[in-house]
Amino acid sequence: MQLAEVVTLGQYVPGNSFLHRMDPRVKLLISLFFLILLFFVQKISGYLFFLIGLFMLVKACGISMRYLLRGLRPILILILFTLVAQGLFSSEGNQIFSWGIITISDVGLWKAFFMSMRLTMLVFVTTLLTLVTSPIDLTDGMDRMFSFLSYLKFPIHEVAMMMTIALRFIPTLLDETDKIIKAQISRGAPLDRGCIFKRLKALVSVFIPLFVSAFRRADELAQAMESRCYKGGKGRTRMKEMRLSLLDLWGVLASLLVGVCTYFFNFLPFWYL
Amino acid sequence: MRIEAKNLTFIYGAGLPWEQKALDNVSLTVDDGEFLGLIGETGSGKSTLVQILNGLLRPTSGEVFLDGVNIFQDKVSLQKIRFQIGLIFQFPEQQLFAETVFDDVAFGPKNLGVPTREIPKRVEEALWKVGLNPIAFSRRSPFSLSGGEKRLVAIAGILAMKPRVLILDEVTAGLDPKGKKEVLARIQLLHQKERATIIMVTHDMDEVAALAERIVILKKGKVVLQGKPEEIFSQPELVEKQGLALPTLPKLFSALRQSGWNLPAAIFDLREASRLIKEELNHAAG
Amino acid sequence: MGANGSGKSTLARLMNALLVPSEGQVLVDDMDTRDPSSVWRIRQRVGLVFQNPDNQIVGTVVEEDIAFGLENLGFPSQEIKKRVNWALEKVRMLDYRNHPPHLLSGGQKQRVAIAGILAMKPRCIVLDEPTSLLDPRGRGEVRELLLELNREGITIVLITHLIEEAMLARRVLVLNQGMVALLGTPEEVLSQTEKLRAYHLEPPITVRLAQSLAASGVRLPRMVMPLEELKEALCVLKRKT
Repeated sequence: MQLAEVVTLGQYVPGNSFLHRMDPRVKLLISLFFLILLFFVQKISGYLFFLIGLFMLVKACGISMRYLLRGLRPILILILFTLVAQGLFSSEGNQIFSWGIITISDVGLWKAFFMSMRLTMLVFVTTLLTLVTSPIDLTDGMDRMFSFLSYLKFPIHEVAMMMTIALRFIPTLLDETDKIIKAQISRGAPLDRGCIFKRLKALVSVFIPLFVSAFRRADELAQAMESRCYKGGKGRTRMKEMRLSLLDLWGVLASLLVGVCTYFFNFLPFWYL
Repeated sequence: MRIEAKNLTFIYGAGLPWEQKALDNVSLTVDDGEFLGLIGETGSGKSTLVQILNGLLRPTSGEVFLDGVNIFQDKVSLQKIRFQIGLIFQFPEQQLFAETVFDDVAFGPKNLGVPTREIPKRVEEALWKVGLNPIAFSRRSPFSLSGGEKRLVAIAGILAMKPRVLILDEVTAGLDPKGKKEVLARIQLLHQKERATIIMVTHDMDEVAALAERIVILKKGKVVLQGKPEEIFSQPELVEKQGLALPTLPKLFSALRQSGWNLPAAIFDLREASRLIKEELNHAAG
Repeated sequence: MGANGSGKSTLARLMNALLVPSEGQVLVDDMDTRDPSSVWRIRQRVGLVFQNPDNQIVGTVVEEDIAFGLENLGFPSQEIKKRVNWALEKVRMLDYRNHPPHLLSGGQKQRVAIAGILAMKPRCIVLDEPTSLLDPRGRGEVRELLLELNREGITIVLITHLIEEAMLARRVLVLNQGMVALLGTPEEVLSQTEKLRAYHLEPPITVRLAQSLAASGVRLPRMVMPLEELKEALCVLKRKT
């Protein structure tokens, strides 16, 4: 019970804001749109404009900025690295300060800030997407959006089904891992003490039972699925209907507007803006 | 080995929104060589209690003493002592991983630092104790065994560590009648031959009535009843008030008593039960 | 009924065309399980519930899982929703429709599995040891549900090694080493204590007690009775004397 509760999947926080209620396919497309657009923005002012827009959107939905910031945690190191690499070791433009191998230049500083901002914005977009869309909706959305791929011999339905089953079993497998770890610790396995090599070696006693169990589950699940007439994606219907609504139309229009405006910041004078 | 648990309280996720009190001021003593039955439904806290006793979990408050030593007082005590309590989890066959039965059973003793030349003897002894012939089974892969055999190998894996106390969590869960019989027989033998201290966690009342010398009933993290089987089942109203089932014979006798029969409460032997019922019927006739 | 390895699970899987016999035939409403074109209709008519509650749940939340079978059969969305609601109510899990499976108890998971089969409106449900991994409460929940469904006309084939469960049936089949060993009413089959023991099955205490009493001259109507019935029978005897 403990492990599975602490690990929340992706970063989904259930809610009823208009972002939550938008069609997942539209959300996916909009996210993709912004992810690509952000690469074409060349001015910090553009990013700042986008950030303000994002902030207002998030506030309007009643979502705390804290969640967005939490999404940065995994790549914090990358951002730091970018800041340091570009900021302290660049010799482009005019030099401001120099000492040994460290050279700080105006363009360098700008680039450091700029690239970090870009990374941050990209992460914010994906974080927001996973914040307001449940993993299963994301999977469903991708399944329905890309269903045409099955005509190109790409097994899109099977991939989506695999993802759904994986999502379903992650908490269950986590519980089992917890239990196996406890059982092996009770047999003296140095999983919670000792040097790193001993610990890694002891992990074998956790992985093997886990794998064996996972295969057994897969076999049993396949039988259960077949017994309930699973025969692949052909002819399959869905209980949940995904219908586009006015909300989605507004979302698309608003996104286009924001996107275009953000892009126009590229044409502002002053290179450093 | 005497176990004393004093005022154990355990809270999952303390301070967080989903915090849950699994154990509430639980105190328990197990004497050397005793066979204790620990009964409780899912959610009663029995798994938590058992994991605290073998040092896997630290209680939020309260202490556990093994032969007078507080096991949580420092890390050294914990390491030394925790393996004197052998905990066999529910469905223990899920922890089998080695290439051969021998290697799997040897895992525990090896981790304990038992000298290599002694390991084969330990493994052999442990396998015999669970009724598996080492010659037939040592070289086999654990994954090629039947469900019941796997379970016995898992139990042997703990026995090879020579714990002074054995805690069995639902040891017959999921076994067919034959498997159940075998496992329970082995456990009874262990208790009788070696005076092993055994704590058996179960919800099968008939199992407990047959084997346990003392019973502790947990409900919602608290000890609600404690005592010898005869004592507890002679107060069936108390047991049923807790929402628990009585073992079959006491249950029948309790129902008959409610209809006016003159029968004892503590009854566990079939022949005796039959005799008493026949007597009652004879009385009514003549 | 039967010990492990007696062939009970194989028989279950032969009933819904998951397995096909090497010799002989399995006919479901005159449809041969060997015929690939009838397989899906057979599986709709004969549902199969497995032993492990976890490993038959596909959906990430309860109502999704119940819809799985109907989605596979291509039912329209509205019909699926109606049936899912109905099935949820039947198994009394309406309040749990949006729960993820890992937060459910074993008994609840099995009820969800049964609901998933019910939604397909089968004529028969085969269950392979559905309660053996459950605690007493879970077992009680599942048994009650099965009795109710049977009263409403659904054929139930229950595979078990618990004689208390077999007592609920109208007929009992005992398998031993892949062959039919005993077949008849619970009274006929479950009173044969010696034979059952030979097949590695354990007669319940109530049956053994009844037989012991009968041996000492107590005239009971039947040997195979659940506890309440045995008590009633004894009280009736006492009043008579």
